[in-house]
Amino acid sequence: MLKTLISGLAAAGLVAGSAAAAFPDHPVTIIVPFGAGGGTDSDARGFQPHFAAALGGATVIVKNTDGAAGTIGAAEAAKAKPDGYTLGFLPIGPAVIQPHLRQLPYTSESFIPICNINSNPVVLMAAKDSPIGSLEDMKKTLTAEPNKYVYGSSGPGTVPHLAMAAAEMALQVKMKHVPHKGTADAMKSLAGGVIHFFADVPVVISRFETKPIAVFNDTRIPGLDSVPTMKEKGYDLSFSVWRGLFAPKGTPEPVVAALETACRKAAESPGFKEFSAKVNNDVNYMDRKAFAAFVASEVKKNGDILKSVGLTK
Amino acid sequence: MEHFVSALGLVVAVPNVIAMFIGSLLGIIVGALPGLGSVVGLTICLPFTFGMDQIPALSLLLGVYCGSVYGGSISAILINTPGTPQSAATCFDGFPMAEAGKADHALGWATSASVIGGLFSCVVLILAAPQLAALALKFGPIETFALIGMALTCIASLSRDNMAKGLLAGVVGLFCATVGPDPVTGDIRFDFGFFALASGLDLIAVVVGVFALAEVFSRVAEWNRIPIPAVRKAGMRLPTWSEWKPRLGVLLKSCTIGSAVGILPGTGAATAAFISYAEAKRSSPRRDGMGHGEPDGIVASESSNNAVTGGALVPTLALGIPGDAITAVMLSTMIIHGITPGVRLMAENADAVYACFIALIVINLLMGVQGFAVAKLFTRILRTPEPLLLSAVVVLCLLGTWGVRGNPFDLVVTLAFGVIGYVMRVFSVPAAPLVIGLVLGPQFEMSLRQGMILTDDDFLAFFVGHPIAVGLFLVTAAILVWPVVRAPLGRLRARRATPKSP
Repeated sequence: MLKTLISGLAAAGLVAGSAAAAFPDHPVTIIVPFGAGGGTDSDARGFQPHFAAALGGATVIVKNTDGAAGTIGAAEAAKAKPDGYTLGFLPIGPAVIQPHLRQLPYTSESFIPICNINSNPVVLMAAKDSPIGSLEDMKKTLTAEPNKYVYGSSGPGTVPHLAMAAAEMALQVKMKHVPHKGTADAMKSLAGGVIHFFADVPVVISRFETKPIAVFNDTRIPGLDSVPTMKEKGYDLSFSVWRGLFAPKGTPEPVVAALETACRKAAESPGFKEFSAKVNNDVNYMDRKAFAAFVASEVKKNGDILKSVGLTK
Repeated sequence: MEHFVSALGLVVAVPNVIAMFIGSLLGIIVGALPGLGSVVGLTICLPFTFGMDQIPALSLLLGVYCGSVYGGSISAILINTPGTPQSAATCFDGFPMAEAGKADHALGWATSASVIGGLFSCVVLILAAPQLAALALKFGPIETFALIGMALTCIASLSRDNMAKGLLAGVVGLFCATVGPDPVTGDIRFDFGFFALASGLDLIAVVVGVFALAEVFSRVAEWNRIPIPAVRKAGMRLPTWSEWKPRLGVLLKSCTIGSAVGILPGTGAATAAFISYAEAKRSSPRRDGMGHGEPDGIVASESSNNAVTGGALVPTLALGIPGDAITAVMLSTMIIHGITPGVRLMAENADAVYACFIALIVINLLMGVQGFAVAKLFTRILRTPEPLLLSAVVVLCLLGTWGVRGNPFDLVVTLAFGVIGYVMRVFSVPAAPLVIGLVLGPQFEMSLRQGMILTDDDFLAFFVGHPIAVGLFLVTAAILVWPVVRAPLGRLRARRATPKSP
């Protein structure tokens, strides 16, 4: 992008003077696979200064490469030179779900997971004025009138879609699915009565008028203490939207270690925590070992659900 | 009232005035440069807003937003290249005026229409935001489908000179909109095995190609044959009251269309400008001159696209639902600054809301003043040697196209559509219907398919229990039938009026 270019040029001028030493000796680029102003973008920009400080004052550039549900940017990160200077700031969608859906120039194995930065559990919700207030109500009403009620999603194969599809199967009910262009569009449909259910991260509940029904998480979450978890109700379902840092496969070990350390420092810095609280994100740092195991489990879990709703390639 | 006073204090504070000034000036310049549009302008400013206070941050972005929508008209008039897709319809009459040596006058029309359109929408926003937001909620998929269907009739009105070619271009535009992920199943369509096509054809890339690059190509092809349009005076000449008076109807109608389109999420300023232009072409008493340098065309397009700005803020502020990429960026800035848009906004952040309202009014006035200064500079562009001007346009086009998504493939798309646009000109196929098809296509398909899911694949159910949709369908039918019956009806009337000769 333009400003990337400008800041890149400025940064190049700054570092040209200093002698090349350990990693990093020139600017690190973080690819955000969505447009500027979105959730992933603002997250990356909040992370950027703290990550730069943790890398010993290196210049960190955020580059937006938008398109095709984040896969264009993820592919760019996967194909970058594996030297640690180009990283992907990837959410669950392009990192784990999209490779299941279609043939892409990359797979989940094209990356070395460096660290997870935040994750937010998904909450099942109904319209504010809905007569349905609990999972029991939902099961009863939906069993009585199959295929009458509608759930929305922010697009086919997104986390909200998968969570609702999994809930539909677990509750053994039948609903219609109407995909939307994004969460905001779906919220308009929920408020206008076009759809009856939706699932997304808790910040959505604070921003729009909705009624939370259950949390796709193992434990209850702060701020929504009165909302039961799926597990409590006997359905072992957990879904979260997470974002982490990935390096292309083949990045040398010492560089990965340096990035991991910097990521931990940045994620745990008071500044980033304060920023995350402001935008309602739960910081959830995982080191690369834990994150790699988590990514692998997410690949398997979401792959299974996608297969059962008939969405795999 | 106390909110109003404290908000006024926030707006007139020195840092805020600077933010508004820089914002709208930057917006005008970014808007005027082909390829760099509103979203790129906002993106450039976004990192700076993180370190700014609430109100200056929002004022900066509001300034860029309004300025960029207006700025697109400058290049549309001067070099037949819309700076943003929103100003594509301004070319039709703006450039012929410039060719006739009246560039300064055309800029005057565009500037005054933009300012009035912007102010009109501010009033709409301030007086009726909550009520109108409730109305926007009544627009489900079926209503949206009906609305977009009506908007598509623009293609017919704009291609009156050559219906077949115009409709063909419209269909090609609709087809181009289907490239990329299927909105319901997520399958990739028409990528022909190229991964890069999976993201679809970007609107900016196509608009820059068929308008800007095609213009450059045709000027190069007809080198030395087209004289460079002469500007008698640099700068801007505002239309007089006697020139305005007969055009107030067009102005009011276009402002209303712009605000209404802005309020309905997912449509945007380009659509509004085309609808207003088509409506003016249908109903204006000066419609025969439109397309050949009739100010009505500029007034319709520019007042309407700027009237979208305030309208688009209605659902953004009142519901927390952004209508397009531009308002989505604004929304995320608000959230970062601790303002939660939506139903509770007015109760929790009344000061900020009033400050936004006042800032919006100030920005629209500021924009007009800056327009004067900038026009002087830009009209000089026409005096630069043509080879220099054309190369600069090409560079800016490519830079801007790449800037939208950071996707190098979009450059290929721009160049390809530059060639396509040139070929279309050679065979006198209009480019506007193609752009209209591409602008409206995604929403048209999405709403149709959402509606089909809701009605269990029964299209006839669209006409039952959806009064708003049925009303829009009837209007659409009337628009389509009217030109067909108008001529025979006129003949019939004429025959009745003249007594039969013995």
